[in-house]
Amino acid sequence: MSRFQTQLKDSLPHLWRYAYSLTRDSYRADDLVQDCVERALRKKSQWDSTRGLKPWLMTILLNLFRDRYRAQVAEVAFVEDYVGGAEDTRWEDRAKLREVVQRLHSLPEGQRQALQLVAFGGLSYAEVSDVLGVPIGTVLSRVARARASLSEVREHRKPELRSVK
Amino acid sequence: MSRFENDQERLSAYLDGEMTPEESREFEVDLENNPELAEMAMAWADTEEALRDMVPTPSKDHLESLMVSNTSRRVQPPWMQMAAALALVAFGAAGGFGFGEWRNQASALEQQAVFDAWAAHRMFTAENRHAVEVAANETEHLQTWLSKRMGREMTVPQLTDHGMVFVGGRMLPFQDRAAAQYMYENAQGQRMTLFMTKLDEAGQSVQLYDTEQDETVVRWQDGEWLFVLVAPIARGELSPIATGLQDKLV
Repeated sequence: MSRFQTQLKDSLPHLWRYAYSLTRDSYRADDLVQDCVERALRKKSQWDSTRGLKPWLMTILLNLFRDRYRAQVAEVAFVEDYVGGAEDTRWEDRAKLREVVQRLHSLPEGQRQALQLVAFGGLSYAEVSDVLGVPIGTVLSRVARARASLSEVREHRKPELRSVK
Repeated sequence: MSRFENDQERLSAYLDGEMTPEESREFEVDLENNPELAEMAMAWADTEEALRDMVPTPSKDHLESLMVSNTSRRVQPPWMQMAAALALVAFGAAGGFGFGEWRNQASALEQQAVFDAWAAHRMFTAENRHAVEVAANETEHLQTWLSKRMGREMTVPQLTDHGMVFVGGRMLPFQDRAAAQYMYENAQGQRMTLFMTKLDEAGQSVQLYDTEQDETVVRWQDGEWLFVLVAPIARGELSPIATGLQDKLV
């Protein structure tokens, strides 16, 4: 297997998780990853092999996502209540999860993008700086601010209504 | 002198493995001696866990199946073949089902379930005396009966908070298995159908919305179960109800 293929295969879990974090849906994530792989294979010659493949793949995937869903941003954003892949999480965890999900999607775009690439895409700050075209110090500060907002203690949290069966 | 502007940046770099070994050691010493910093680290660790849980990781096989060249798909996407096949079976009479955006890899079974849910909604909400098989006054019996047939706890979710009163339910045949249908009604007499059935593969999805004729259709999958909610109610209004249901149906 070529180095390209090996790196491609190794990048798949991160690529998929990143796609899922953007689309919040398994089918859409599958679709994006598949199209991303296809495009990567077609444009293989454009890859600068002195650099890792993963950031390049993430860039392609992000562009595909933007092309495809920009018009539908409102639509994607509509699904704000998903609980992701946590199938067996307890209620309290789900509540926490929901909250983090909601906060993640209300972050300023720059912060969210940086955090998504790090947390789901598994990229280093240097790689994120490449993908987003911003200095590495900016990546650091965006990721840090994003995490801080997600972790803030919510003071006036309303008790959530949960059904009792 | 440090390249970090504050503790938040340090903690982030620490979590992401972006520190030099020396920076890490220094930071760990601070963590031990500074309770405030330690507390922050704990809160961030919770967030990290939530971030991890937020996104599933598909199996290796599944991921590698995505690597198969899409060339053939471009020529004739499998979903198109599937849609064509289904159109003959089910959608023909309905004049084509409007789930335009919903194509990709929804299984045939899932597509069929959504269509059946919608069709059942249309058929039974139009009924007056026979809208349901077991009426709300026999809820307990309905729950026991359907739980047995469906192999899942079938507690009827109450939606009076959302102005929806439970009318009753029924069992429906769906392919080689059973499906359950619960019907609700609001003060304006609008009826809403919740359709539940088991799929072949476990999965997880967000709420996905579509419109078909006068109805909004929401579906989501939780484990092996597919839930489809159909109502002649605009999406913005239906969304909180769907969310309420999703919470209760876990």
